[in-house]
Amino acid sequence: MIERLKSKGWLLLLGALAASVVLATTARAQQPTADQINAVASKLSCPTCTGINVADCPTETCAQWRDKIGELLGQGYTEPQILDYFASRYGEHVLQVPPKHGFFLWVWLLPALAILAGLAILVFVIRSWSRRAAPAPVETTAPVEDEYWQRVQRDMEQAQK
Amino acid sequence: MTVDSDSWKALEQSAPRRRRNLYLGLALLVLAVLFGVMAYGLRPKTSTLLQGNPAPNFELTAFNGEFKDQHFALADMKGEVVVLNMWASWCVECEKEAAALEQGWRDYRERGVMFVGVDYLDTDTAGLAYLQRFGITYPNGPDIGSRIFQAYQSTGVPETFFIDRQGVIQYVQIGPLTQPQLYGLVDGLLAKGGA
Repeated sequence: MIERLKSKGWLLLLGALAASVVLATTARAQQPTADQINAVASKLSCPTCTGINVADCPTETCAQWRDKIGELLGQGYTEPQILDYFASRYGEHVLQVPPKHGFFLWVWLLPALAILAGLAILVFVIRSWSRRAAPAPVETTAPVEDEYWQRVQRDMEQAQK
Repeated sequence: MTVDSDSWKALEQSAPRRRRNLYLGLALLVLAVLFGVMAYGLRPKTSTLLQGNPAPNFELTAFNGEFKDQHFALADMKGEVVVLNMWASWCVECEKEAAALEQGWRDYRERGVMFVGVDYLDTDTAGLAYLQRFGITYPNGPDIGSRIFQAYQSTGVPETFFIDRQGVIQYVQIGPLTQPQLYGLVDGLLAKGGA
């Protein structure tokens, strides 16, 4: 009887150990690495400084944002979901790559329009310059006095006779 | 006959020229629009320009203390003096005015003065820890989408807007407030009366 209880106790202990190992492994798997956090953070702009992304930024705000990214990754959020969260919470200007809709669509369109307009003006200017530089055709009414040409004409007249 | 053919020739020559001028005009128009947009984006913006103007409406859901999850809108505060403070937990200068603002709230809340804190570019965890650290009890909430910050043309934190009972911004303080300054401004707005 005692032997049976002892073996049951061992089994329970082993089961508890196995369960804790599984739980610890799962928890570690859910804990995002610094690389995973930085991969998302690099797609967000530091809100209180200029030209730095959240991954590279040394300020306290960015440290808080990285913590938040880690928290969201731990909860199973995907990268687009996290970027959406930050855009809706703090405004779309925090995204490193501006979205292709609404007001920010102009950020994509305006440079292309500017280049097209610049090219059109360049073509117009170059064409007007080349037209001005070309010499005007001179119309001549003077008789042709080329000796060779006269000889050809003469020879042809004789041949026709 | 000669006149007709001349005018036809002139017409033929002028058609491509007109088309060219049209294209040039269009290109110049596009560039003018681009420069216009750029100039609009670069126009000087500061919250002090709002002084003397009606305050933009704001909506905020409080995340702290007794006001947690309560909805606040300026439109619902007509007839009250409003002290709208923009802050952030990462803002060192904000810490200098935190105690004065809380004391002001305690001293004026029964006299028709509403204090509202706008937590700018902050995480809730850090924002709430800051409020707890300074014992702040007046309603505070996150600035979702930075909409309030932008509507008030703020350039940083802390900034405090003093809105009179008619909903007009009477004074904008850029940088931390001192207690005498805060009390002086609120007393001035209360003395103005009206409802």
